[in-house]
Amino acid sequence: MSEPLLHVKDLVKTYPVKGGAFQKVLGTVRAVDGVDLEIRKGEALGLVGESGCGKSTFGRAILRLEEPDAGSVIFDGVDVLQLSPKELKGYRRDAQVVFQDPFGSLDPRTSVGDSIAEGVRVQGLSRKDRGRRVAEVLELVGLEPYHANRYPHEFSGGQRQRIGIARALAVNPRFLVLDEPVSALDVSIQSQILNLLKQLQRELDLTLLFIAHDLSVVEHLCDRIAVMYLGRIVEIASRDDLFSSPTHPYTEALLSAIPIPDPTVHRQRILLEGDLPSPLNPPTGCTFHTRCPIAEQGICDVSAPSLLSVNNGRHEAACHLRTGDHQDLNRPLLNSR
Amino acid sequence: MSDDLYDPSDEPLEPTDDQPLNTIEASDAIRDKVRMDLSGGDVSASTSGGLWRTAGREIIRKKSAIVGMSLLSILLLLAAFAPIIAPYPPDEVLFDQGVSPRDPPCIHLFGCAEENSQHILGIDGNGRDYFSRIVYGARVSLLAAFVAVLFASIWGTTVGLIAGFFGGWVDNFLMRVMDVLLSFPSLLLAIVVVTVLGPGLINAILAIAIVTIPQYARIVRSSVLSIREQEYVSADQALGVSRWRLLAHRIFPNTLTPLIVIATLGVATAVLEIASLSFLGLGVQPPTPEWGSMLAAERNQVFTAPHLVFFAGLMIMWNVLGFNLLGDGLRDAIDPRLGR
Amino acid sequence: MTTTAINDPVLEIRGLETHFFTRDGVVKAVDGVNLTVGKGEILGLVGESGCGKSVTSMSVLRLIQNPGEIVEGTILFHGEDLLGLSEKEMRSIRGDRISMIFQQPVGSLNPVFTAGSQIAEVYEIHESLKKKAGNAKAVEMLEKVGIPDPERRAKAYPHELSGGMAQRVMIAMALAAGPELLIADEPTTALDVTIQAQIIDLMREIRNDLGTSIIVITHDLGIVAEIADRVSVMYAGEIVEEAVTETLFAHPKHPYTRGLIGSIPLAGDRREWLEVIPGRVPNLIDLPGGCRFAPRCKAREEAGLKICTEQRPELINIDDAHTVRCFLYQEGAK
Repeated sequence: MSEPLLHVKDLVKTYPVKGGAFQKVLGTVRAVDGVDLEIRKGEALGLVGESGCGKSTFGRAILRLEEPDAGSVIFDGVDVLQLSPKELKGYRRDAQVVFQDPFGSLDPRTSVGDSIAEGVRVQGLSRKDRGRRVAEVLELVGLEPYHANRYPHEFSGGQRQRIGIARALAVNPRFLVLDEPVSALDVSIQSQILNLLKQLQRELDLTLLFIAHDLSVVEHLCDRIAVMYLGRIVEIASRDDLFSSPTHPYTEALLSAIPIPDPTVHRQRILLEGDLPSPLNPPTGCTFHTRCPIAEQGICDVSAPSLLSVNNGRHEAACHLRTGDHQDLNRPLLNSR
Repeated sequence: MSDDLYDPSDEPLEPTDDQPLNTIEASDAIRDKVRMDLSGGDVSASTSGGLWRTAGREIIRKKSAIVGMSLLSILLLLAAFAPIIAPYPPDEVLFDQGVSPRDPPCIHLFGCAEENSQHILGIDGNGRDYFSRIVYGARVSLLAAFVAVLFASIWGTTVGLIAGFFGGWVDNFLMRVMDVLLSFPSLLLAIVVVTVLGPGLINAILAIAIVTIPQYARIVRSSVLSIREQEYVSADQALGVSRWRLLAHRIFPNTLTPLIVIATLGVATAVLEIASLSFLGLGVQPPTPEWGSMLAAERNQVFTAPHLVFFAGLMIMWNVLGFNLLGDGLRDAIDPRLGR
Repeated sequence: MTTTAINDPVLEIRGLETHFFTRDGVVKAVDGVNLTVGKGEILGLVGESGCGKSVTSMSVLRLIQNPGEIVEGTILFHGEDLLGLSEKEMRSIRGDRISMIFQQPVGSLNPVFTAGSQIAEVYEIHESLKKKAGNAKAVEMLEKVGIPDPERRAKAYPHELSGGMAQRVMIAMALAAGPELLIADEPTTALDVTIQAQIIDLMREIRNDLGTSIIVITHDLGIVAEIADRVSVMYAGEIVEEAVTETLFAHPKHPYTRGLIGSIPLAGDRREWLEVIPGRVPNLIDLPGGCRFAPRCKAREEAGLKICTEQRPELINIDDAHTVRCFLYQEGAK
């Protein structure tokens, strides 16, 4: 078992919700609500959840693109949240990000080469070396060096996503946050990018945090997967454990909802009632109990469950009825599993 | 943990001979798998160049922009070559050359008697050649409007950038000041400003500039707010780019597009407002030739000497129309949302 | 002919060509498409962005706008050519006998009217019902599409509804006039996975209960596998393969279909590398001569076929209900 590269402890990020004529603060949204997470060296961790569950905010918070309210982010032994802007420069080289939108993630008025070189310029590379580095990373992601002089609107979505990856890799990072890197791409381009990411991870020995809403995409690339619901991690396990024995009812529902491109497979689907509750006014107790098919009154709506180990392994889930004190009340969700 | 862990100098980024950076030793098969979407067609070669060049090409295709530019280039030529085009100095009183006030146009080609001197737009109430005054008027009108818009857009952009980028109480304070300025009808406010500063060309320009600052500030601020949320700004932040560089290299260039469009349309408004102030006697003072004040001077002669009112009015309209058409064309050409 | 016999066709598209006349040239968005939808059938129309699947559906409703134009073909709806109808006659078909739902449910609803009144309006127009009766029917419809507490939701404005809820309202509205054909353009793409599953199930129920024919347009093969009876795969403006869903997924023939299926990461799939279709979709203004997929086709190279770059392939019947546009399956094409 390799040591953790990134250790997130009890991270909290809230947003004030303002309204009215004088922008009065009406309440706070706890977008990330006490997340503990360990990412080990060289692993690819998937972070999955529906829109609005806080997964992107989490990714931005650990990169300090947003300032978290509480908690700590230990990267290679140093608490990133305590670094001064000057000290942060080193972290900026170690931890990079690739965004979702291939159209919004590149400045339309800057040539591709200049966009990619921005990071190494900050790190103090000379103009000549910057040009060489840009050519290197362009080749790394399957583009040609002469593309550096072109502008973003001349590229297709898949090519732009490669440019976004090249920009992140230019500073030679050890850790990469991928925020829905393929969800805006066409199916046949998705697989090109997924293969590229997998290859890069191996060759450059990268540690990845792969944020996505699509479990099957995450499954392809990740060693471990964490499932997030309303700002909290509800289950975390190795890829195989998660798919073979999902423990949290929400994970089960997510898995059963993935459309399978095989018409001969007819499985039972766990239909969740209703929609994601408003994060402004989250349910009491376990935040999932309003949609949970097995929730027990008097237990689930009273106290929030914490992440506990399943069968004493590294598989953890936060459910009173599955891993907590009330395992005796546990009912299977599907009769044929 | 010591700070030197994050010292950028302790690990050279440049590849060295004994430690090459990111060497790929992938098999060809893997290389094939990742190097794919290029083989089916390269990036198009025909559309190379930045967005500005693309916009330039688009503008040439817009009819309204072409018409606007033609109207304006005639005006610019008039202004630039006024001393050559105008047959008389604009202030010269010609009573000693046998003209009387408000003589109608005399053009030899159209049968005006050869012994009379030629005045193609006639003579104004003070015995000056009206055509020469119209020609010199283009200088004042264009210059004043340009200076007013330049002044207003520079200050408006500064206010908008600061308010949008820094947010918080700075934003609140600046934008409330702008709201107060906007809450007055602009001409009324300009009149107040001129009344305080005293009439005159410079003060009129200043007045018009001040009252239009909020327009620019608001446009720039709203584009800053949307650009700030773009992923390319986040990506730069993640790369450690400083705030000032973000402002100067990412945010400011991307606010220019809407700014150029409203500034062009703003010149049209400024032309009109300068003329209005001068018409009211608060702007350009006689004898400086200015279309608004020329209009005002002869306004009682609409029925007896209509040419003295008509041509000054026509020139103001010409100018405003030119900038409006150019502005509309620019907006269509630059705004990608409108498609093509 | 390559048509497969379909009992009681509701919609038959024959040789449809919809072109867009742009400054840069003619974009052949739809270029000779044949499609048949039977009564109570769910047809999946699959393809990547820009393949012409949405333009096909807009052509059926005659909602193509300048610079686009339907230049060729017939669209028979119960045997009547929609392209020959006047705009007034067409209006009485739209929303009444053929209706459509879109990808962005919230944007497709009018923000200033309540969900209920928008559905009620359909009844008022198409069935000349009074306001009160229309409202009652609207609540009934909302209940039918599985909206809990329909009376309260009927009084809600679109912005007060979640994405999934708004899509249900859209479906209720589309179904209000009892259409024979429902066209759903990426109905679940903007929704979360769990909500997506609900909408898929709802559409299947609608077909089972009301016998509505449905065309589902999507880029997601998973959704097609779950919902469609038959699938048409589109590429660069034409249909490249069509088959019963089970057949298509079990025995895909066209190299593009095979590539698409191979490139999706599947749950429980532990392949090292995903399959990749090299290159990208061709420019619809400057289409390659011959087969449009030829420049990206690995199977062609392996088989050493020359004809692919020279001649345009026709749709070939493989068996009863399976057609493919590919020379690999044509006798004597070497």
